[in-house]
Amino acid sequence: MKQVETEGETLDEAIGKALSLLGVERDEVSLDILAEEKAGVLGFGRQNARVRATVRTAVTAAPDEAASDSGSGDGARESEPVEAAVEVDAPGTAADLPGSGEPAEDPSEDVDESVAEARKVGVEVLTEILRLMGVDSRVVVKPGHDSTEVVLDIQGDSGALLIGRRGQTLEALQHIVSRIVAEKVGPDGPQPIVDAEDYRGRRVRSLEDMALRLGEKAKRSRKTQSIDALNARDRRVVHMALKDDPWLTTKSQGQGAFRRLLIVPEGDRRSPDEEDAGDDR
Amino acid sequence: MKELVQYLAESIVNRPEAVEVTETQEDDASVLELKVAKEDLGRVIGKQGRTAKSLRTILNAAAARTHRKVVLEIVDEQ
Repeated sequence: MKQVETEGETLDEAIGKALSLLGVERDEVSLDILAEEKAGVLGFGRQNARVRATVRTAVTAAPDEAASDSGSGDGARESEPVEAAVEVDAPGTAADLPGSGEPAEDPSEDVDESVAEARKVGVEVLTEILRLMGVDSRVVVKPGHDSTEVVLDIQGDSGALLIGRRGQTLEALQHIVSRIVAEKVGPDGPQPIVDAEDYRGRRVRSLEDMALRLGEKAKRSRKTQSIDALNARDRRVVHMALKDDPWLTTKSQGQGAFRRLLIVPEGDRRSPDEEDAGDDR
Repeated sequence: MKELVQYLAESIVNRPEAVEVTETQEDDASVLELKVAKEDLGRVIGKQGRTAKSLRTILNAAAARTHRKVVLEIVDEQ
């Protein structure tokens, strides 16, 4: 059995290395995610992504995958990527619970069922949208931070087009896919996250950097710092990045598009409403 | 383009059979007119126009290679 372990700055990079080492296509291996990349803080705690890729033999492959082995070229993008993706995902979630190795055993049926449904619908919908857009990309499911998170990663050479200026096209795809999945799976089900070229990861890292920078500035100047025009997901990243800092508190203020995030240094007695007036002193 | 709008609209409305898309070619742009059932108008526009904006953004990305502008008009029949 051919097997390699590789490392890369991103999961995709690690997988790419593994595939080129083995000289096989992605749908011919089963992948174990040993570690996901971590951004780290100011260069500390950075961690590369590591995967173990094992070339599947006809015996270990599921029947439909074994069948697809014979006819799959790299141009094939109907069902194989999805199948391969599920393989990628399963060990990823299993990694959190040591001991359970098989994708077949899903202990918590309820949650897993809706996750599986959201994943299936998400892949179908996004694949169809990309096809109708005339974009030659494929959709691969990647493991999220926990077992209920579904990440739909768009792979291909149209990344820049699909991300758009300041991520607006990716945001539009995200919105539409979420809407359609909610329509088909139910509004309370898991919402897939649409990603391309690790845009989400890069965004999170730059937001974390900004959060730490503004946090330092708030402490140094003892003045509340504010950030405008972030969406809810982005604000959450900033809140999370600073939540363990005992010298800072973060809160959101205002409604809708005018909602902004405040980073308040400990001991800043002025209420946030006064801080505009106090700025020039 | 027409097919794309048709698919997206049908996927988010309650009455997909009422979705109608017509495409007209103007000098410098393709104009897509989207008609949906009255009760579904809010669904294709979305909260604060977010869904309509997303539809237009996706269309523009798809049109970027064709060097033709695409205009999406959501038609409100009275």
